[in-house]
Amino acid sequence: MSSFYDVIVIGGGPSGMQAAIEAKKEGAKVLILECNDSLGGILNQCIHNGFGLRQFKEELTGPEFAYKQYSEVKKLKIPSVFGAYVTKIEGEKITALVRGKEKEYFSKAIVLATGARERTAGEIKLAGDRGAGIYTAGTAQKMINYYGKLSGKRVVILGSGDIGLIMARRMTLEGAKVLKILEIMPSSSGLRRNIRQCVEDFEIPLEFSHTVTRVVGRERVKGVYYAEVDENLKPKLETEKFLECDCLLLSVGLIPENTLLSEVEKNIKKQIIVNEFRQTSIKNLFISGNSLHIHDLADNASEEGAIAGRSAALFARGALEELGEEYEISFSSAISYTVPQRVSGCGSFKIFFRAKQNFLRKKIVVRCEGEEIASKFCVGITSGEMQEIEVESGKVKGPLTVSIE
Amino acid sequence: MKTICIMCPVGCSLNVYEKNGEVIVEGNSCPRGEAYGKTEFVNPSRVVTTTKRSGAFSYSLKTDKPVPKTMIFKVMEKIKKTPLKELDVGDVFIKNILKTGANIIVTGKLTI
Amino acid sequence: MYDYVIFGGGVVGAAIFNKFVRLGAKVALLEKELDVATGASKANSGLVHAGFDAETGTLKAKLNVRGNELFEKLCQELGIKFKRTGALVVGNDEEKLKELLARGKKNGVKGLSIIREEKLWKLVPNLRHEYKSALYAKTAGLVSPYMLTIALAEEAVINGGQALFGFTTKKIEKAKGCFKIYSSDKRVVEGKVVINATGAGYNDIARLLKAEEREIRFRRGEYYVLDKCDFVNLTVFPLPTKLGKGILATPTASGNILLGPTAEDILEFDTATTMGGLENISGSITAMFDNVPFDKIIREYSGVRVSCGDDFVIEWDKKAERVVDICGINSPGLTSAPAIAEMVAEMVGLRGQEKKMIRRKGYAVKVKGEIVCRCEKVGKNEILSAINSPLKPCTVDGIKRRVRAGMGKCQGGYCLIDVCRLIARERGIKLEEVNKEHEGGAVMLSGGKYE
Repeated sequence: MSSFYDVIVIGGGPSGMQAAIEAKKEGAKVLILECNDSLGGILNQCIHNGFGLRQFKEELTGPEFAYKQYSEVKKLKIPSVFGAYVTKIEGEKITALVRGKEKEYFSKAIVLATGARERTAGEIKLAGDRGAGIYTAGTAQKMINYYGKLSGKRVVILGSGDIGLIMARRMTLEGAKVLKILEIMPSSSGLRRNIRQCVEDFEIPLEFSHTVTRVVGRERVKGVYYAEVDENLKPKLETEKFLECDCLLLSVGLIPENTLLSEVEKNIKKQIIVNEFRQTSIKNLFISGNSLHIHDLADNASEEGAIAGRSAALFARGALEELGEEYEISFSSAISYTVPQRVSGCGSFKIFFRAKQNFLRKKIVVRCEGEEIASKFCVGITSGEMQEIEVESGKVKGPLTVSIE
Repeated sequence: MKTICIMCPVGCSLNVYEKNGEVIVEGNSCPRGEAYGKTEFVNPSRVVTTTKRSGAFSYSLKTDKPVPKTMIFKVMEKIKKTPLKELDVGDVFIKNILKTGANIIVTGKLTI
Repeated sequence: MYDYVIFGGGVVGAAIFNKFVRLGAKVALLEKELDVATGASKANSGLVHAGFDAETGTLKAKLNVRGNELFEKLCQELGIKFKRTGALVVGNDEEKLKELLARGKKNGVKGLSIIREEKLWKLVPNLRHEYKSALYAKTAGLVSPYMLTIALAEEAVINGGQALFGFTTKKIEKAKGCFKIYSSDKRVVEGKVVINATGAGYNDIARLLKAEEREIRFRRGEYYVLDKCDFVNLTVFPLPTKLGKGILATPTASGNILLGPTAEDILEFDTATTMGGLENISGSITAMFDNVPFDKIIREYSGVRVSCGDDFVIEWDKKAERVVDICGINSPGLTSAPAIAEMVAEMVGLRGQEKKMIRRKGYAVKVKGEIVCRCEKVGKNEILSAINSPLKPCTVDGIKRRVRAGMGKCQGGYCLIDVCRLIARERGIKLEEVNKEHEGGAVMLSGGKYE
């Protein structure tokens, strides 16, 4: 097997697999580098249902979604290297530690699909003791779903992101008592259906505008102090209460895992800039899925992988070179970010974005030099959900702005 | 009854009530939502997913259709107490579990 | 029967343990926790101080300067990192800086100078330009305090010293020139001379020895740990106050950045961090520096410094015979540890040539194996090597201190379970029996009600 490829995809989760599939369909010679021993990434531990409606038009569990993609990878005879931990990308060269031994691969185009990691106790500056029993929800999920071990038997969950809600139900089903879910914000960033089926179904108290102020327990968690927060999210210490528990799970956000890219390009800001092909400022490097920005659903990460994979294959055969001028996409103050952030407008494309707050009955409008080129009416726009709007081919003649009106 | 539809990530707010012996669902944006609203009114049911260790494998499992909410913990217990010999993805582990009409099927298999 | 029994596996106990083994004595180290360096020795600034700070004539001054001199050779022998990066005390009160300089010179510290403006700002690009002068101490350095402790103890064990962990001393009998020491799990150790180097636990052991109990005070210091970056390249202190050396910014021997410590007197031993303390650090650091990379914060911790009067206490006990008391070893305790070991050896009459020691190998391996800790790129084989190293560590934190698995920005999110699995496998225990750090601190619990 030679180490020269058209497209190498780093990461074999939902986005990476789809990128590999689409690149292969475009005729590219493709390889997947995966650091685990199997494909599927985080989907393997997301055993709950709710995946696949968008991509496969049926409701699937995480492992089933992964299996469907994996079956296609196998059918297309796309090779994977397992236990491959990529340490460096330089031009067309990828250096990886494979089972601890350094190996080199070469590829005309590279797709980064390395997923995300969870925000930690350290990052939210959680005060108190640092005994056993404080874990991110994903770590607790792996403990129970892979190894059948509980992270605790009396559990408090901080944060009401989807992973936290899913874990509230999962721990309850396995016989643990979930005492409370605390959310510092006045509303949940999790999906409404997860509030319904993971929290309300099991009558788990969910308290908004509350946070953990201190963890107690030198050896293992013995309890947490928690309090209501004011409008600046500062705890009101006079409302502090104690809750006895042996475990605190954190569901306080995901952070794109793109260290590899920031090692290549020192100027990388917090957010990676891509065009509609998910091409970064390093022309042969494409990025998709949670390593670019956090998606609500595996289906969306996979859809983005498809774009990146297809584009990488086009790039590899020299078909992406005459993109012409790229224009910036700016956005109104109600929007926190968009992907992509710049476009060439060679074909039709979608702009994905997140709103900063909730809106009712508003129009999403895309303008090019003052002229409306796309719009969409929405009954409800929530800050928790990714929004999207399609712009038709041939409309882009200058910089774009996206707004909610 | 007011509830949230769990059939897809949109999560429509549903209003379900009975009128002249017929269950009426309002607020849904698709037929799946209407069906969900009706079941939720009459006999709320959920798909149960869990895992089970056996030998060198960790199996992920699900009920292939929703089971009544009141049966969730009983289904869990039955799954945990039933020995699992080697199976593959898609295989039925327990047929018609506790006479709910739902089968427990293997959704994933990982070497641990 | 041991010649010497040391209570306490902190850096001081480990340094004495190591020195005594080097001098050919038969020594045992008793530690109530599951590993060495689980108290103040894991939770300090990791600085090898130059020695200008302590008052001239005190044990602190003397042992600091001597200890500093010993570091290069010692760390080289132990095979651990030591970087003589230098340190700065910044402040515009030149009188005070000159005072420190003069005191340093009196204490015998070499390489001290006062630097100003451009030269200072070049050394610390992120320092606010309101700060125009600093005392520069060339001989200050960085060491991992827990790796030093671990390496000292490992070398001692490789060369015949005995280290006992999870040894909670329950009873001590004195008979015919020897101490009979019983643990709560019914182990018995006999020794002729005992050394109490338990730090915060000093009085518990003193009581059992019927030795002198002392008035101990606790002072808590909280820190932020930043992911590896080049915010500062050497230690930057503010001017010292009565409470201590102040909130500093320093690189660590491994390339992280520490911000802290606070200094808060507390009544009971408590290593919890507090919201107030952490805010204090942010405030002090922002007052001194620009471009503070607060977004790189990956962890907070606090350590408790024990004090007993103003100076170190290192002396023969006045009530009990053949008992050496070591108490109040706060800053510069880490720097002084090798010199304290020399001094105690001298006190008990252990003299002469050090024997030829078998050196420790560390945990480096030819092939790392698959990467377990992604943030710090730690391989499976390195973790196995640490698990099977001389002290036979059995905790997740013990492995973390040795090979840095879990010390990166995801703080063990990826590798915690894998490290537990490797420990369980190598020790032949169940997954739910693996502790994070302390006995009773299992990482995972057995399955729920169905298991």
